[in-house]
Amino acid sequence: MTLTPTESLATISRERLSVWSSPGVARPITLILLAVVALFAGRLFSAGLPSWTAAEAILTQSLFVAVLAFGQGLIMLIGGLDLSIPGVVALSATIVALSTSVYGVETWLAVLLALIASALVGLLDGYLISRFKIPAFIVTLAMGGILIGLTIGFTFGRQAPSAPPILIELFSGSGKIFGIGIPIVVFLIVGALGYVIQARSRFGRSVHLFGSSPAAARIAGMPVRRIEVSVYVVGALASGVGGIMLLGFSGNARLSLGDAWLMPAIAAVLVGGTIIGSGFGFWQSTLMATVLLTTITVVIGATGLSQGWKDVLYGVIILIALSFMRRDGGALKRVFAGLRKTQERPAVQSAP
Amino acid sequence: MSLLQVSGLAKKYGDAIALSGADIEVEAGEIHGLIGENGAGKSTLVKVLSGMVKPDAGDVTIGGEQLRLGHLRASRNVGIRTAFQELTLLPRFTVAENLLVDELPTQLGMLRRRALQSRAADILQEWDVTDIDPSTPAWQLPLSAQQRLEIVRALNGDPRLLILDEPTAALPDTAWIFKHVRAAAERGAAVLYISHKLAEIEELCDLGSIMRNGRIVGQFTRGAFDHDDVISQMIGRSIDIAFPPPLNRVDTSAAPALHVESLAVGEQVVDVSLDVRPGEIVGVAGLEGQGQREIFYALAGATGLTSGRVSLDGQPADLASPRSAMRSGPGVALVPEERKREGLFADMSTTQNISVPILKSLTRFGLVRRRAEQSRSGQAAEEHYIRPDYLARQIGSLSGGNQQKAILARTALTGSSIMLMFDPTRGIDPAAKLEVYKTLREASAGGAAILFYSTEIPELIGMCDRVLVVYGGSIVAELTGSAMTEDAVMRHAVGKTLQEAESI
Repeated sequence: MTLTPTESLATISRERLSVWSSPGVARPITLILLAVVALFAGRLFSAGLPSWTAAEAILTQSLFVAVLAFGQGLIMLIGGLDLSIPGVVALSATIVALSTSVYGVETWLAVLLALIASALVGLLDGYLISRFKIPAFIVTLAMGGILIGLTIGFTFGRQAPSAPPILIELFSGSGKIFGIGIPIVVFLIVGALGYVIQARSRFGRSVHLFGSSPAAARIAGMPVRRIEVSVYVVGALASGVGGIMLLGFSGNARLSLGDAWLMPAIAAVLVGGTIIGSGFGFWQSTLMATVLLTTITVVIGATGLSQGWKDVLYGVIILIALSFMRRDGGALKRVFAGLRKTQERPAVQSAP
Repeated sequence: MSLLQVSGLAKKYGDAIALSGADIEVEAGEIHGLIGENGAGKSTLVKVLSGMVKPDAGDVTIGGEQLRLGHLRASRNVGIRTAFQELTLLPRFTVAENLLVDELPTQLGMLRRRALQSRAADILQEWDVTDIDPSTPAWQLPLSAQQRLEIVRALNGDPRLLILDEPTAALPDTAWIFKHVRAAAERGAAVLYISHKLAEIEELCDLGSIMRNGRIVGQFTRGAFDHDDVISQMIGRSIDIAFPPPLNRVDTSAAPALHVESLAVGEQVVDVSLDVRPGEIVGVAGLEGQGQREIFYALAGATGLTSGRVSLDGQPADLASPRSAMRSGPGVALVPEERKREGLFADMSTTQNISVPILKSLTRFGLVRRRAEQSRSGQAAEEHYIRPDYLARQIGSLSGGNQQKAILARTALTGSSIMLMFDPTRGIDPAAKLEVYKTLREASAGGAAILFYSTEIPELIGMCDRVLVVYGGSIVAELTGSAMTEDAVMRHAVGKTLQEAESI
């Protein structure tokens, strides 16, 4: 097939556009642009916005949402929901804080213990869900409650133990590398690592395949039980990591450490366009959604409204965001679709 | 004026035509048989009459009054009662609750349990069902009892039009149902009786219609029921597809790659034994629900088997799961019945759909090597006649034929040399069918042992070295060479014994 110059030009630009309008690219770009717009719109409420300080604060907080949303996203891809995040966060933070401050364990060892405990929690979750077909939200809700109870037992109801200094240095935002806050550097690392795991690794592929159709995965000979359980292990590990980071951020291991982060993590996955139980979703979109949601929180915080109205506003914005992030690629795709039409027109007209 | 008048019913599901101008009339007091091949449109007709499906065009009148179509309540209110082929009992509820689901006895909004029990017991007694306890949950009943319950539910409403769709599929004893169907007709009901079993139709029905391709193509009356004629009308024309010739000769002295002895699966499969040799394509024919699905799924490890011995290349097979079946000896792979649910990863690309079985070998340091994946999937796609530009597309957006070819490509990559193909050409276009045939031939030339079920008999005859006919959960005939004809297959499939079939 030979193409006339105008036709080939149209073909090429269409291909280029189709990359940009594919959901794995268009959605994260839309989300981050919206975050920037929201930040600048903050000027309406506060003279302090936008500012570099505010951006740093936003990215720091986004880190915690992102780490938790990574695990939550994998679990939601296969049709589950992890409500044990606050429980695992409290458990892991308490293990680290208690063992370092009270029992004098080295920090690295304390972190390792916390991660092992988190993984075991995930293993148990996954086993119960996959073996007995109990809905994930029930198992994880119960597990969350059990963990909070156990954590109270560990601490004997004492005052919250404090974080080891190194974690405070790393995650409170005070430490800097080349003038950039360490949490922001970690945010970038988490972003890259999450992409490699979800989009490029065999584990990530298996999760997408299993989420897309458990029945087909089974018939195709995949180790479906192992995949399902490992998703919950990885999810709980992410929560455990999140707990350690939050411990550093807040300075001590309160039982309610993870409470405020569960809903933003779920919201980020949904706003990022992951469809529950479909195997369809992109980590880069979830990641950008964490930034957008944190930005919105910060901007709403600057409005000076009473807390009730802040919550209402946040809820309304989430609803609007969800309605935009539809499966067809969302708002940006429609913009590009319009653009494509105008670009194709000359080629059509010049055809004999 | 007939009680039931159906004219010009048409219904399409996507591109598939289920009904195209079906006309049928049934008088009050008449038992009207309806027969036809799988996919002829019988079940769709039943669903339209019951109000479950709204047709695209056509009219139905009951006693001269227009029936409001696509409305369950409307169909019910004019006295249409249906015993469905796929039973509609609520499995978690008791027999009594299932029987009285529309008129539960209540007092101040609370269920009156004792009244429920006694009324249900009365109903069961009225219809001569003495062996079912009204307080048993429906799912605990054997399939035959569930089927009787479904029928009692339809009989009990004193129907004007009684529809029975394959009522004896799980009911070996026909005397009970015949008695009550006849009684219902004597009370003035019109009965539409659908069955694959010709002997039943011949015995029970006053009149009958033959359905094919969504319309009525022939009629027969009691006493003038000619099996040969009816069968040939059921099959109808067969579009001549040129089947690709075999590329290899089967070595009949070779040891079987798949050896099955006395396989039983639940109530659906009783005592099935079969052999498939390397390079052989063995066909399985049967009308819907004769146990063929259970045979295939059990052999693939997808469902458990009740008893029986299965060996692969002479070694006992491990059929605990599809994964273990695939890794057992030469390996067993299944092309499943429900392409959408059991075959496709709809949101993922064609490449990613094909590469599933070889993911492990494509992995380095935990990461999938995308170049290698594209080339290996691309090669398998090419061997299965899939256009290269489909590889990057979401498989859900491709045609059924291309989806099926991708599933075949995936199956080939499992490296299993025993392939169970369950109706691989269902609902795909002729060009894609031909390509599926070619890949079957090539696989068998490469030494694969293929068990091939199809609802299209000509396809089996055109492609297979032998055809096994299943009926009522066992193999009732094995046809080879010149004995492998459509008529012969159909005769056995509708349950005629070997002697009868030979004497015709």
